[in-house]
Formats: sequence, C-alpha cells, structure tokens
Amino acid sequence: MSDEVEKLERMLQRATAAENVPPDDLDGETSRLREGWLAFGRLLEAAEPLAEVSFRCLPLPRKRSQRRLWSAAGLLAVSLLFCAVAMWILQPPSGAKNASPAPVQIASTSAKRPAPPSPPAPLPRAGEGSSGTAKPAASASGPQWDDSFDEQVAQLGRQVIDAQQSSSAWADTGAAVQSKIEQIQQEFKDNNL
Amino acid sequence: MGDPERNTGDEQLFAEWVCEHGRAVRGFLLAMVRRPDVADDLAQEVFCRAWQARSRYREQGSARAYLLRIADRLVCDRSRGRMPFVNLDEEGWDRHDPPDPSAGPLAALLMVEATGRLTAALDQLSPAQRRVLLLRYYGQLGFAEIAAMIGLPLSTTLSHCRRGLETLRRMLVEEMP
Repeated sequence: MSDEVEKLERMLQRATAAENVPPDDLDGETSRLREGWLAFGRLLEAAEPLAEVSFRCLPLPRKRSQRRLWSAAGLLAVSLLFCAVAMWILQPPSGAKNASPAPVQIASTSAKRPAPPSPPAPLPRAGEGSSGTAKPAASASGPQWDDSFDEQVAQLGRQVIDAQQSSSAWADTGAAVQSKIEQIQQEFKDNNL
Repeated sequence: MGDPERNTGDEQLFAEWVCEHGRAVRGFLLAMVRRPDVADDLAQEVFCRAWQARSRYREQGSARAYLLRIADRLVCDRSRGRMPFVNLDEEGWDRHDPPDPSAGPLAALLMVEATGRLTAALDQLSPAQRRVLLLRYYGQLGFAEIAAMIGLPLSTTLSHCRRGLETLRRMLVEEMP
C-alpha cells in the first residue's frame, strides 16, 4: 500500500469517525470532509421514520412442511391411541379374561338350590336286585360335605381378587361374582350344610 | 441444529442481532432503495437469511458487517431484477400500514422535507459512492472491509468516499439557504 493511500485512508477514517473528533485536531481538508459527513448523518437520522422505534423479535411462523409434519404426527398418535383402546375393549387383559366367565358360570350352577331329598323308595321286594338300595341309603344319611366345591369357592374368591386388581373396568363383574358367592354361602347356611 | 442448548444460544444471538443492528440494516436499505415498504421487506429478508445461514457464521468481524453484507447483496439482486416484489401504490400502502396519527403534522412535514433532501443528495452520488458511504455510516466498517465487500481496490474505494463526501458537503453545507 502506497503512502498516499495510507494517508488518504487515515484522513477519511478521521473524517467519517463515529465518535466526536475535536475540530482543532483536523486539518483543513479533513475538516471540510467531516462537515459533509456530519450533515449527511443528520439527514439520514431525520429521514429515518423508525428512528425511535426499537426493533424486536417476533416468533417466526413454522414452515408449512413443519406444520404438515406435526399434523401427521398428531393424527398418527390419535390413531394409535384409538386402536389401542379398541383392542383393550375387545380383548381384555389375560388375568381378567380368565377371571370373569368362569365365576359367573360356576356361580350360576352352584346357585341352584340343593335338590330336596328324594322320596323314600319303596321297599325292595324279595328277590329284587340290590341295585336300587344305594341311593336311598345315601339320602337317608344326609348331604355329605363336598371338598371339591369348597375348593371351587376358594378359587372363585382368588379369581375375583385378581379380576379386581387387573382392571377397574371389571370391578362390576367382580362385585357381581362376590355377591353370588355370598348368596351361595347364605344358602348353604340356610340349609345347614 | 438438534441441540436445544445450541438452538437457545442461536435464538439469543439472533435476538441480539435484531435489537442491536435492526435499525442500521433497515436504514441502510432505506437509503439504498428509498422505499420504506421495500426496505422493510428487505430487512426481514436479511434477518431470515442470516438465521438460515447462522451455522456458517463465524465470529469473524462484526455481526453488523455480516448483516450489511447480506443487505448489500439483496439490494444488488433487487436492482438486477432477481427478486420479485409486489409494489403497492400509495393508497394501498396506507390501507396496509396507515400513518401514525400520534406523529403530528409538523413531524410528518419535517420528515417529508428531510426525505426529499436526502433523496436529492443521494441522487447526486454515484452508486459506488452511495454504497461506500452508507456502509461506512451504518456499519462503521473499515475501508479495507468495505473494499472487500464491494469488490473494489482500496484506493478506488477511498476515492469514492472522498468524492462522495465532497459532493455531500457541497449540497448540504454550502448550498443550504
């Protein structure tokens, strides 16, 4: 860089400096150029309509593709949720599925009132076989305690507990089964079993 | 781009850019195109492009120089007809952005007068002189940086600045009533 260019650059830097430069520090030509520079700056400020307005950032709208992506993702999420709910309704959890139908079936069969004692059979005639004597003998001795039925009741209770824990949706079924069990127990008590 | 901390830092940096350099960028554009509506659109475009290219921005030089470089290119593109614009007439512009009634008639008159004088002064400058002086004023860039930005030798850039200042002094100081 030649000396003349360096000198001109220094002069123009002083003439166009943003900070205040004492006029006494400037030579004649620099001072004249600075007068033009300052007048230019005043004019730019006066003609600037937004001189007193501060700029601020506003949130930029998302691009259309981004909006579409978010819409598709939302639609997919809603669809998945709908499918999950539908599957849960149509195919209940395994614990609850095993629990509900069996107790209802057992309860319906066991809720039958015990058959009344059969009428006394006619006395066997002489010469007849002894095959018909077993039933009257059993009925005559009264109903026997059935251990398997007790196990069924205990199993039913466990299944009810499982059903209640598995899902709140099956609570009504469990309550119905529970009431059936209580009904059976009451019937057993009434019949002095 | 996916790092939330980096995104937050970018957004903060961008907000600082808008607050600190928005006026300078807009003023530079207004002086170059002399249409407030076009200057607003271009200023918006400058910051959009700066945001899109923020990953390529490095802390070399000032952010204002970076933004003004984008603004200068946009003005050049516009002058070459590369950027489509929808021009509103005065009535349409007033409907879109009505004048501020709180400014008062005197302030509006002074602004109109200043705008007219500025337009007359800028018309007396060559395009190169205008670019050099406006980049110097709004960006406070060094002359070597301005020369690199506009693609001219330093000596030519200095010459444009000197002649432009002489023209401005003659118009704004000597010929003032």
